[in-house]
Formats: sequence, structure tokens, C-alpha cells
Amino acid sequence: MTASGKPLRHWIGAILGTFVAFAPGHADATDVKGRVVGFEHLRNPMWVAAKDPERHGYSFREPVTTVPAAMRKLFPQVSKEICVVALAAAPKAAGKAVSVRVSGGRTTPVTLVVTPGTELRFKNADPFDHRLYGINMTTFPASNTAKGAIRRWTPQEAGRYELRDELAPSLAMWVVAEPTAAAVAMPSNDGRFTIELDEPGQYTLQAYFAGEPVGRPLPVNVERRDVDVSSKPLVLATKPPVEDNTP
Amino acid sequence: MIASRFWFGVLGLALAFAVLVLELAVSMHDRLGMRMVSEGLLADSRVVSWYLRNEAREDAAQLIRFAANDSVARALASASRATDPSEIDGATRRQLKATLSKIAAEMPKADSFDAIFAVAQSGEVLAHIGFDQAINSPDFELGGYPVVADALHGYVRDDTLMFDRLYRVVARPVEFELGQLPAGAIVGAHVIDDAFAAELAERTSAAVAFYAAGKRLAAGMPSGVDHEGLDQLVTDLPSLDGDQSYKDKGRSEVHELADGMAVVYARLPGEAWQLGAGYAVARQGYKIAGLTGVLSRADSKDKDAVNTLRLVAIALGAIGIGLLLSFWEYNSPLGRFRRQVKALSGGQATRFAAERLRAPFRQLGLDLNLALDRIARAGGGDEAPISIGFEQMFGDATAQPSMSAFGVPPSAPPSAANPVEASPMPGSAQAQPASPPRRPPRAAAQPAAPAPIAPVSIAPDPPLDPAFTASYSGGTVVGLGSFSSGAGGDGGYPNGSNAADTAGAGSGVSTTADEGVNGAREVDPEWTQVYQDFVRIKQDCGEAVEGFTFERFTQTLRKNRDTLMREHGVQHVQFSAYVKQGRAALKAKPVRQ
Repeated sequence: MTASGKPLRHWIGAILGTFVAFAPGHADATDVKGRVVGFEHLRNPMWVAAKDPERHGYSFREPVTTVPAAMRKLFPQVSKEICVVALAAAPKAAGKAVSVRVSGGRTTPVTLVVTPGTELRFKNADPFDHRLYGINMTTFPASNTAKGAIRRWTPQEAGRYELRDELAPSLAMWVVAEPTAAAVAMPSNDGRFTIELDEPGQYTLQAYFAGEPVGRPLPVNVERRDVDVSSKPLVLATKPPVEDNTP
Repeated sequence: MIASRFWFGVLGLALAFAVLVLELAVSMHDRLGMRMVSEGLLADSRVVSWYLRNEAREDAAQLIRFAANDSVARALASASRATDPSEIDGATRRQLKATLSKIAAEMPKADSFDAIFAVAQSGEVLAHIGFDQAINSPDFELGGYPVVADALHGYVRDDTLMFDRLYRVVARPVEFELGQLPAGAIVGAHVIDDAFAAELAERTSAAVAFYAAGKRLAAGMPSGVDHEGLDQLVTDLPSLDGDQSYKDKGRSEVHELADGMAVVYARLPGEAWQLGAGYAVARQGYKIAGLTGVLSRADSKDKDAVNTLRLVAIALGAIGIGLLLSFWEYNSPLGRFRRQVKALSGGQATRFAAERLRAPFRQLGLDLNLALDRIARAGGGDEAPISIGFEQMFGDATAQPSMSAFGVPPSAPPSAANPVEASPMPGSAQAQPASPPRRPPRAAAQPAAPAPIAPVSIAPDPPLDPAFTASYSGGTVVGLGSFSSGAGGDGGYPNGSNAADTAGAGSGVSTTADEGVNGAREVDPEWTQVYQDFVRIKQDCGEAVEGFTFERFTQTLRKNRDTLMREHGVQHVQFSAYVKQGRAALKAKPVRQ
């Protein structure tokens, strides 16, 4: 099942982990650990829109009653749709290229915060074509991306960009070009995350969902050692949205 | 002739009415046919929609076989607990795939899916069968699609997705622990291809085609229905952009394609709706397409329904009526003529009553009356009139009496200042035309005085037709007058009288011949006979003779005689009266000596 069932792989992992821990590696890198909560109160806008009968997205849609009603909410897949960013006090230079996987009717990640000038590489992991385009954007027109192909795009200016796919109407991705974005992290399924910062300083942790900041920002003072702010989680939402009244 | 013409008119109206009824029938048939086809198409479209929905529900029920399998649920639960999909080992994936294959193999073929996907809570596809395109795509997932997301959140529903092809998809959650979030989802898919369409067509008895992005993807026809008609869909698909019903309701109005094919389009439910994917049901419209189509499209049952006996009776009746009318029109005037001939031969009558005869026989009657008169004048001789072959000399003038010298003067009463002119001819009533001087007997011709001639109004002379043939038959012409250019001579008079004698027979005041003795104009003595013949024919023809004077008559003859003599270099011109087209007319014949 998992790596725990494989002794050889376990030992190899332990050896590599020790090597990585004592390697000089990233000079002056500092990890900020934290977690996000309340994401079960968020709703994926594309899925919510798709359940509208007026959009004729299905011929029947019925709840399975053995699944608790509280679970039958279209909350996002936190590991793909929530992006936590550490905002610096001053603008940052463009970062390294970021890979974005296109598959399964969405991109991974769905929301991404980068500094302007950071190149995005969209890799089509589906066995069929995609045709991404930016809404109201001339710099990212619709173009085919074949199976396994990579399409590159760099947001040059600060702002919020929404990308869609002509061949998959439910696919939506939001790119936020934020000049002060120092680093980003995607939480795990339980909401925990780790942000790796290259430089110490005063930062602000902010979660983004569907291209918009959600929850209150969390100030973090980073010095030469790791910081754990899990005790003060980022609260993304405190109550379910109004549209939950409809199943 | 009137009756047959009327009958022809009746037949023409009947034919036009028959064509009218036929065209109305064709139009009504086509309209009602299209209405029936439209209603049938709408029913077909709804049936296909219900079929798709019902099929999706049945598919969702069939997915329970997978979702309720403990091995499947356990594998998905363990995979969902992994923090990273890469932590899921290959053995788990292979075991899950084997389980899926085993369950699928146990399903009835009619209920089987083309592809099955086992999806972890994170959206990753843990195992799949029937979708070989994704074998080499380790990162393949489905979690972003609303149908899968719904299943991962506790819903069962269907969708239509466009992958490499069009798929009808149904998904339901897989639960491992009650009261918890589903461990994953199981997704079943049917490829919408020709096999899918053919099965749908057989079950719904509807000709159906699926399309997307302006292309026809699949088509299925019930048994015995032509497949080629649906190929026209591609050319008609752009017209859906202007179909408001299609945009609003997802189902179009009836579209008529070529060759009478009618189509109703409907959108497919699901994400494919936004991609313009849909299905079309088609039926062959029953259009006659014009009058000739009535004959070409009639089958044996239609032909058996025709009452042949009635058609034959109508045709024979129409023919019989036509023949009857023709027979009656031919024999009725002939019978009248025959009766008059019998009366004439039996002595009950001396002349033909031409006014009682119809047009062709009336002319015959007039000609025979003239012939009888000439024979009587010739003393019963057997000399027959000779046709001289000249054009009518004054025919047109008789057709226009107000302009003719032989017509009735419009307003020229006899002059009161000239008592001679006003005096009637001897032996004639005041209202009768002035009679010309009777031709005197051969012995007493010289002292005979011409009758006084009533004055006439001056009208333009009738035109003289210059066309004539100079050939002369050489025979004696009964009733013909002749004129010699040599005044006073006798060579020009067959009967031996001379012009001076004849002129002297007039009143001495207004005779019409050339200037002769005592200043009177000479008159050819035979002109008197021509005048009498002419007046009699006019009376026989029912023409008015009031004011038709001998003086004016001779003036016109003289002018025409002179013209003919001058133009043709002859010394004699013979005139004769005859009937032309039911009216009195004159002929002129130059005679070379």
C-alpha cells in the first residue's frame, strides 16, 4: 500500500532524508510551518455553478443519503485549490519557472500566486488536447496543447488572471501576479503547509482561493530559524456560504 | 359553333378547376405531412432524451456493483489517506484494476460500460479499465470535472464529457466508513459512437445522430431506414445559431433538409451542452413535390383507391357532349338550308330567305339569289357568270358607308333649290333610292329618258385597288356592264347601244356620264343594270339604300373606269355587283380589245 510496507524503500528514504538534512543545500533557507482551517466552508465556484439546473449540466443529480449532509458540500480540494503565499515587505524579483499540470478538468494548482515575470509552464497530462486561453487577455490566446505538451506563459504585470479551457468548460485557473510574493505553498489534505523562505524578514501569510485572498493575513517575523505558526492557523472561512441552502 | 365554343370553355374551366384542386391537395398534403413529421420528430426527441436519462440512471445503479465492493472501497480509502498520490504503490493500483475488470466481466453485456474509473478523494485516477489512452499518463485524474466532484462529495449524477471522444458519464461515491467523506468515486462511461447510436436507434425507433463542434460524431438508424440522409446535418448545423428555441430550451424547431428530410436538434445534458454537443433526430418528410409527384409517388394502394369507372364515365360524357354539340351545329343550319332548297324546288318559294340562314349558308343563299336573278334576266339562258378574278373595287367603301359614294349620305337631304334633283324617280317611292334609268329595250332604247337622279352628298371616293389580273376569260359576263372610251361609239357596248343614247335617257340635268350631248355626261347603258344589281344586293343583304343615287354611283364608276383605263391601257372596263362577306360590292375588270 504505502512506503511503510516496503522495508528497502523505507531505508533508502531514511538515508536520503539524513543526507538532505545535513547537506548544505539551501543557504539561509527558513521554513515557516502553518495550517489553514475553515476551508470546508469554501465552495468551488465551478462546481457550484455546474449544479445549477439552468445550466443543463446533468439529467439527474441525487444525493447519496448514507453520506452525511455536512459532507455533501462542494468544498474545494485544499491541496490543489488553496494557495498560501508569504508576502514580503518589498517587491521581489521574478522567481523560477512554475510547472502547472493540466488534467482531470482542472489545473494543479488551481490558484497560484507568483511575482510578475515568473514563467508558468502548463503541461497537458491528459490523453487528449486542451485549449487554454485567458479571459480578456491578449497575451494568452486560445491555443491547442496536445497530450504531454507544455505551453509557456509569463504574466508580466501585477494583477489577477483567469484562465479557461475551450475544450473543458469546467476548467478554471487563477493566477495572481503579486510583486511582493516571496514564496508559496500548497497545503496538504489536512491543511498543513510549509513555506520555504530564502531571506529572513517580516512577512505576511495570506491564503488565496479562486484567485482571491481568503481569511485574515498572518504576520510572521522570520529570522535564521524555522518558524511554526500552526498554533495560529489561517482561518479561511468561519461559516458556510448562503448558497449551501440548496443541495 | 357557339355551343361548341362554349363547351370548350366549360372544359377549359373544368381543367383549370381540376388543376386548382390538385395543387391545393398537394399543398395540404405536404403541409399536413410536415406537421405529422414535426410532431413525430418532437416525440422522437423526447423519447431519446428520456432514454438517455433512464440509461444514465440504470448505469448509476450498475455502478453499485463497483462501489459496494469491499476491495474497491478499501483501496480507495487507503489511497485517499496518502498525502501524495506518488505514495500509492503499483500493487494497489494493479489489484484495484483487477477487481474492476472482474466485476465488469460479471456484468451482463447490455449493462456493461466502455470504461470504468476508480477515483481517489484527491481526484487521482487510481485504476481504470477500457480507457487505454491514459495508460501512459500516471498523473491522469478526473477530480476537476463536476460530475466526479459531486460523486466525491456524496452525489450520484450523470454528465456528458468531451475527452478524445464524446462520453456519457455517470459517477457515484464509494463509501468505506459510514458517516465519513466518501473514500473515492467510481465513474462509468459510454463512448458515444455509431454502436451507441445504433443501439439507441433500435430501442427508440428513432433515427438519431450525435454531433459536437460542428461535426457529426455518430449516427444510428432503425432497421430499414436510409443512413445517408443524416450526412446533411453538418451543413445545417450552423443554422442552429439562429434558432432561439435551441438556445433557450435546448431543443430546436423542425429543420427541413434537402430531399424532404426533417430534423429536430437537442442539446446533450452535461458539460457537452456548453460545447455545442447534441443529438438530432430525423424523419423523412412525405412531400409530393408538385403535380408530377402525385403520379410518381402513388403506390398500388393509392391506385386501387381510384374509381376508374367514374373517370371513364366523365371522359365519355365530355366526349359525347362535344360530339353532340358538333353534330347539332353542323346539321341544324344544313337542315334549314335543305328545307329552303326543297321549298324553292317545290315552288313554295322563289328566293332564298337568306336572313333565316346562318353565316355560311346565308352567303350561299345570297349568291344563289343573285344567280337566280341573272338567270331570270337572261331569259333562262344557261350562260354562267364568269369570275373575272379582280379584287373588290368598292368593297371597303361599303364597309364604311359614311365615307363611301355608295353609302348612305349622313346629312344631305335633297336640295330644295333644285326641283329636278328633288323629284323622285318615276315609279319609286320618295323614301326609296333614286332609281337609275331603266335600260331601254333594244328597239326603244334611244328615246328612253333617264330617270331623275337625286342629289347625293359628296364623299371621298373609295380607293381603287390597283391589283388586278389582266387576264380575260373571254366569255360573256352576265350582269356586267361595260364601257367604251370612245364616246358615242358602239363598239364598247355588247348590246349595241351607245353611251350618248344612254346619257340622253337621263334627266338632262345631272346625269353622270362624260360630257356628251347638251353638256350632259355620258352614262354607260349597262351601268344602269349594274346599279340595279347593286341596289338589289344591298337590299338582300339588309343594307340601307336610302339616298343611294345613280348619279353618285356613276360618278364613282367613271372615276375608277378612267383610272383603270389609264393605268392599264385598256379601252373597256366591266363592272359587276356581287356579294362579299354578306355585303354588296363591285368588281371591275379591264378589257383589252
